[in-house]
Amino acid sequence: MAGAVAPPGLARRPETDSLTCAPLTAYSETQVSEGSRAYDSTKWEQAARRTARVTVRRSLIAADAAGLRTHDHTAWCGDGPREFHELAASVFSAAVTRNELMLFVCEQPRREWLTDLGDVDHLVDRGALQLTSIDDVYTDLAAAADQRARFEALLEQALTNGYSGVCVVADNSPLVTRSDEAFEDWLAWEAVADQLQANRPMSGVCYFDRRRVSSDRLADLAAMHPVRCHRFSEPTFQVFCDADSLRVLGELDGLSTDRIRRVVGTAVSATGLMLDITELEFIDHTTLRTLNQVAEAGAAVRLRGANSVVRRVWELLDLPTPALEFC
Amino acid sequence: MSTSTAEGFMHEVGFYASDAEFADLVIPFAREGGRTGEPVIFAYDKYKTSLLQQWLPDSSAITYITDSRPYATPAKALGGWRKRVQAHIAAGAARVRIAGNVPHPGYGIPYTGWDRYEAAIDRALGDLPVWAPCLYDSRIAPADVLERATSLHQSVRERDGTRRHNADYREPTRLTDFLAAAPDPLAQTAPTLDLSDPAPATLRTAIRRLAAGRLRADRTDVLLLAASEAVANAIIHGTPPVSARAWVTADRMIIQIHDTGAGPTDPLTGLFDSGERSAESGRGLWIAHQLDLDVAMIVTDDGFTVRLRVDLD
Repeated sequence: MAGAVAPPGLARRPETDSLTCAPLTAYSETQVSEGSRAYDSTKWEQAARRTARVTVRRSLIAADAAGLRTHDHTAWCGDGPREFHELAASVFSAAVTRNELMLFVCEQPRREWLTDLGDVDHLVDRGALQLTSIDDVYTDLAAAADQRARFEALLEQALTNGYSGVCVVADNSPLVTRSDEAFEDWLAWEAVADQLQANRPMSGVCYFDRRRVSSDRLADLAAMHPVRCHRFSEPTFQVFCDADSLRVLGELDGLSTDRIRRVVGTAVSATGLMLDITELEFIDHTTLRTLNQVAEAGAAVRLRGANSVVRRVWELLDLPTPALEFC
Repeated sequence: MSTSTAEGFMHEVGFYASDAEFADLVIPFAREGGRTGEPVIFAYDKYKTSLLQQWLPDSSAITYITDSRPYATPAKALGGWRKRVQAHIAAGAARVRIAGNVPHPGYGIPYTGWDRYEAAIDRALGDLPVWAPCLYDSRIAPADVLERATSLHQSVRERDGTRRHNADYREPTRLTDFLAAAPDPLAQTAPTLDLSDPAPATLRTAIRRLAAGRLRADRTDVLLLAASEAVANAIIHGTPPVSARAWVTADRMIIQIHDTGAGPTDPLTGLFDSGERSAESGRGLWIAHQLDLDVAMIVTDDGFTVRLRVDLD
């Protein structure tokens, strides 16, 4: 598969004259093996899979779920559970060919919903397809690190068992229709999950039922995924992990500062965080101030791609304790 | 107005009608600065600078600023003075003496905006040890400017070197206490763009569309920032409905953000940076005033308008 070409079914983001959309970035092919070679995989191949990571993350609007790939972190929406079942069958049909461990997650998953996939019983019996209740997968979203550790453990086990990676398709609607605080916890978790999918052989398709989730929340959810289906409206901003940075697209203003504070605060690690704003269309002083507060509170936050106007606003702000680094 | 005034802060008005009277006001002021080690900064036009250099040939304590940059706009002038004063204080000065030409029609520049500048000095520099006599040339300053300048200073500097309390001082309390910006005839015509209650992002998208191919990317960013701050301000602090209108000609663009409220309660909003303690909206308007575009705040019977003007590339 050529790295620079979008596979069929994946639509290029429409160009508009008002907003320069994120370019469709191809991502370099990783060393993940494909097909059924996993059964005779060597230790070397396993090691290669463990270190597989993208160098440039792709960001796009998808029309067909069958074109999704490893490392894609996708937001999908539809009407009701039936569309979710069809989505899962479509995503898994590609994951089977990549020899990925498949995780089907919803409130009460049933194997007959996936009959489009072929011999579901066989896949379940040999462990390639796991059906899991949402409450068993997400036990404590407020503890994102623990949640991440559980996914990492699952991935390690899958790689050890000869799979090339993990593919999760989940109807997360019940988890995003609770209180505002629980929703913010979920969005912070999305940032953590995204980091995992950028750096490990994983992909996740997060399904949200439009009948249950408000349109405001759907927009917020779309913002946290590099790939989304065409049914979402354009989010004001989008944030996702890349090889060495957190990339932000769109616009950041006073309305998004709380969200950015949480996302960046969650994503920042002991070694700091590189925030790439090269493709950002707008950033105001309240956002710079918020980022500075995050930097003040913990590890180094560096900003890459700030243009002269952003730097001028930063100078004007003249914060008493500047902690944000420009590079 | 509660202002924490630094020891030694003095802001006063003075008048002269001849070069000799100008000398009476500035020479002792500068010489004493030299004696006491207080740096003196003069920002005058070419003619007055040459007079000062003749009168004060041996003073190393004096810095002359001869370009017009310090008075580019009122907000930039206040920020600029503050930076210069702070630099001198950081270098060990006990107090800094500053004097310059405040623009008015005598110099071919409307006094609009500069009356607010005069009113803002007490708060913008009041926490610093600054001595700032504002000296007006009554030969060229129109009578209404002289009257207005008088009312904006708490003290008057006399030519004999004394200082007296100004009984004519009137503290401005509303934006309408200041001279109003002259209406732009272009803004009386049918607008190119007219948005009702726009979200900041909606307005930015519309401005990008208007500016495409007409305004350089960095200058568009400046306009987007200022417009965004103004509309956020109108939404948060103004009275609905909020409107955003734009006019575009071959050589310039006007953006006006209007709400039906009375405008900022602080008549000096946007003129100086009150730092981290200030309301965020105030900070946004101040930033807009520091950028390279023309910003005017206009109060009319039907509400409050922030007008942004740029010349197109």
